[in-house]
Amino acid sequence: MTWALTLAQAAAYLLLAPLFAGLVDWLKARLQGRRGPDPAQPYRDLRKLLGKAPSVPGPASGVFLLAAPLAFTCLGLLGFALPLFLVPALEMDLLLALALLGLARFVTALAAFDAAAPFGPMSGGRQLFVHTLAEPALLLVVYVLALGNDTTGLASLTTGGNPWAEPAVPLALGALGYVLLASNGRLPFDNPATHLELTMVEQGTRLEHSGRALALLEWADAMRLTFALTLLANLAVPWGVTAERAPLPVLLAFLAYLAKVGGLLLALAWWEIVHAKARLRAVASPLLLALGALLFAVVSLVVQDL
Amino acid sequence: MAEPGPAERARTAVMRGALGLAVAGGVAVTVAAVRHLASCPPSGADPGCVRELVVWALPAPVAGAPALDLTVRVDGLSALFLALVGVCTSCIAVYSFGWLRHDPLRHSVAVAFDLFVAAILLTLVVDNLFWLLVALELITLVSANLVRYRGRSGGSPQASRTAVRTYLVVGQASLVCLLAGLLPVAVASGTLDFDGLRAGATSPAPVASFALVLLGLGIRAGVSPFHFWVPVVHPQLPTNTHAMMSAVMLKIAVYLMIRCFLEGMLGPVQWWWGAVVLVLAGATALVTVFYALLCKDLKTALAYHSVENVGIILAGLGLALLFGADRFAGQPAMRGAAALALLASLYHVVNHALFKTLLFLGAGAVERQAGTVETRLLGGLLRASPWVGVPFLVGAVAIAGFPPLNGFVSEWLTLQALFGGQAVYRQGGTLALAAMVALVLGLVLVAASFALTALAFVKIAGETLLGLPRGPRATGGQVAWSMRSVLVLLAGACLLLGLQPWLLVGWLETAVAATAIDAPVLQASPTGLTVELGLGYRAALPLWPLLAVGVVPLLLTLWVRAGAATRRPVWAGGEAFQPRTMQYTGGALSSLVWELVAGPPGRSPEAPLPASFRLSGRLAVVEQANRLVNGLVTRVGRASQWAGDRVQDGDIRNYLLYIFGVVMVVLILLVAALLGPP
Repeated sequence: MTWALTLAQAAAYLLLAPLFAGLVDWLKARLQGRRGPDPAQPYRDLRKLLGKAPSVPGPASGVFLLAAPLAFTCLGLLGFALPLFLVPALEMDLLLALALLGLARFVTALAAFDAAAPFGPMSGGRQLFVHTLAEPALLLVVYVLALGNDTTGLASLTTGGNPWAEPAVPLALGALGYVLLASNGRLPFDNPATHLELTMVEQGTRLEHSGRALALLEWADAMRLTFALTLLANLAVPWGVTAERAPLPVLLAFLAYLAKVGGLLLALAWWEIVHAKARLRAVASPLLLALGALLFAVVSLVVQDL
Repeated sequence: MAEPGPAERARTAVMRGALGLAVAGGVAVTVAAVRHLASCPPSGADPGCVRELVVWALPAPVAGAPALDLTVRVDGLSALFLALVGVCTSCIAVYSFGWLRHDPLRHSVAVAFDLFVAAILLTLVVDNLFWLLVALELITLVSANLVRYRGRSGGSPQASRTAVRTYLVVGQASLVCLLAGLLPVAVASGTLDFDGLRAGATSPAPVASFALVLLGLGIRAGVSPFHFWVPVVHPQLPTNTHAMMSAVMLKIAVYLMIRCFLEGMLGPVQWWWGAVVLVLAGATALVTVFYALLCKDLKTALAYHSVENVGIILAGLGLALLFGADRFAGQPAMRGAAALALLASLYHVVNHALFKTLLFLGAGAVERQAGTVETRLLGGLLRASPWVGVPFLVGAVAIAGFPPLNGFVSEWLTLQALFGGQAVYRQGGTLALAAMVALVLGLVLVAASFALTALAFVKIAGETLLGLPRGPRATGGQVAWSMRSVLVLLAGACLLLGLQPWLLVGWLETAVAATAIDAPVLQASPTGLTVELGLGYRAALPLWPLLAVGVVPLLLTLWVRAGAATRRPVWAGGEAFQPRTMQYTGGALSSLVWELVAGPPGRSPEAPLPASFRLSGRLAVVEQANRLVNGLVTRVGRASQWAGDRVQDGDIRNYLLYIFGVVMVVLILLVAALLGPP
């Protein structure tokens, strides 16, 4: 039963991801007074792409072919261990989850080099550069969470006690939200809707991929967004993740999950219509601000222990 | 091909003999060390698992002075390092059969390599300060001969001379500092044996001793700002011994640090030692990885990365010192965190030895294949020679610290040790605040260096292995099978230790138990690693995701390619694609980082070391450590010239005055000795 539910949760993670990606775009459009694409549009795109064999640039080696499946696997694995609405049977460490995200980023950047076309590596490098600025803050968030919870296990962190009791944790969660914007390529770090290659941070590494490989990459992107939303939602509101295996609590927990993520999706859409993309050279200062917030969080946690 | 003359045949025979000896010796040392590690009881029953053997009983030369017996002492810690030296030696020796085959200096390099290894082994087993200094001096002398290699085989004699001089000066400076730090301890305890020093001798001035020993060993390990010698010396070595110097020789300093600091040779361990080492280590890692990004030459970049990894190793050691300080002796949570930190540090020692040997040997193969190591001229080597490219790529992913390779496991353990040492915040106000500053600073520096390493290896691997060749490529020699097989073997080892870390953990625990810190904190099994420290800190690294990351993408790739993936030409905005000019370069990639600090190139002064990285016609980044050294060398040279001009002015009366002065001083000393108290 536990295993079946874990698998069901992984399937939900996998299948809901394109919907969430579609919902952000739809909500953004509605908030701007446009009609926007149907939220189910990503499913149609994926179905179309999954039916097509990829076309591979001439000089590409195995790295290019392996990149999309590897990125998809890295993100897909998280679904087996991340508590969406119930505590899964498998355990996973937050540091390992971040390393898997890093591996996906690393391999797509390498694949961009492998394709030999100039735009891909340019955006792959930018992606790694933004991440370089974000990484210290990201690990400091994990440190704050580990200070509060005595663990870095995903299940224990996202089903812990009341995070709002201490001033440090909301501070850390705010910083985490900001850093996750950076690592998901959202505004103000990157404009996910851009079509101009020269400004691309995230999308440029997708340019050379096609067919099934592109489908896997798009899907992996959607899962990365889902992972970030779920992590933030369940860290901020750890209520509603159930350890019971009866149908009714699971259903309630699922609805609670949809409500939490729905709220975050709305917030993200609103955030993206009121922010513009920052210049690449200017992304350092907001991330340093996040780092500063985290330093305060650590200090407050340590001082209350004294 | 002409029949080789007798001299050529003799050289080949000498090379084969020396390398054969190295392979056999390496395997023998590995087997012996691993058997020693495996025979030790898990923990508690025989702490340290020490075996001693007096090789040469040498009585004290003067009555009352300490004896100078040459005793071989092997415990868990030295057995671990011995095994590492053994593995690296045999791998490098097998590789060298192919690499040195047509080299005119093959006999000399092979013999010097054997001596180098012997000196390193001696350093690891001696149990006496006198013999330790002899062994360290031997390492310096023997490897200085290897540093002459490029100069002897047609490289720039100027660069070669600078490298040899720098290397010797660094070796001497490090030795002098080490001696100055340890001799007071030896004098106070009246013995030169490490057992005697450990037994409770405390330094008369522990702070000065700590600072001097840290300085001496830090210079040898390349801790910033003393990292300057590593990238100067490395390009001058024969490629096969790069690996030995960076994978093993830099670790000797780490080994001695563990011995001197953690085993109480300088007196009880103070928590602030750990804070100092941690912050220095983080700064070293970040500074060197930044400079590594600027290098255009594969070998120099890898040399910088060696120092960066020493930084990560020392971060683990710093945490072990901080949490393992004597004042926390009764607290299991602190001891546990210290043991975990030391274990993480030793895990990274092993990992770095494996993947750095792999990368350096791979760079040697790249040089053989493409005729250059300048990355902006390389490209497409993965398709051209997969036997070199795939292992090199594995090494790059391992050093960047991504699962499922071994680099990730040790970085995970280091971070867990940092996170797990929370009990330090319950030790009182000042200490907790100071520890917090050090820990947070260390975490931020190390995190930034992890991320930059990933960027640096996208640059290195992307430019070297992927895409199309970027420049005219010399048709180099063939990469022999002996070279390829070693590369594949090392890549396999990196993968194995990443997927199944429990294989190594038992031996590491034996090594950790050899120092005074032992607390079983890590449960390792084929399904995962679990960290359990006192006071409830718990973290687990499950291994199923690592296996899945290793296997699932391969299956998915087969499915993605099903139905004939078509090949198409590279699209370059409608223009005809020019591989040499249109591909993105590593320099452009790293410019995102270096443009923040680049400036116009200054006039470089008359100086031994390269003062800056020239990145384009208009931009350069100053290498601060080299500038510091250059300034020092210039000033010292000027001062000594000034003094020399004054003292040696050719006037006979002055020389007579000097003789008179010396005679007077000797007489006064004699009189004082005769009249003084008996």
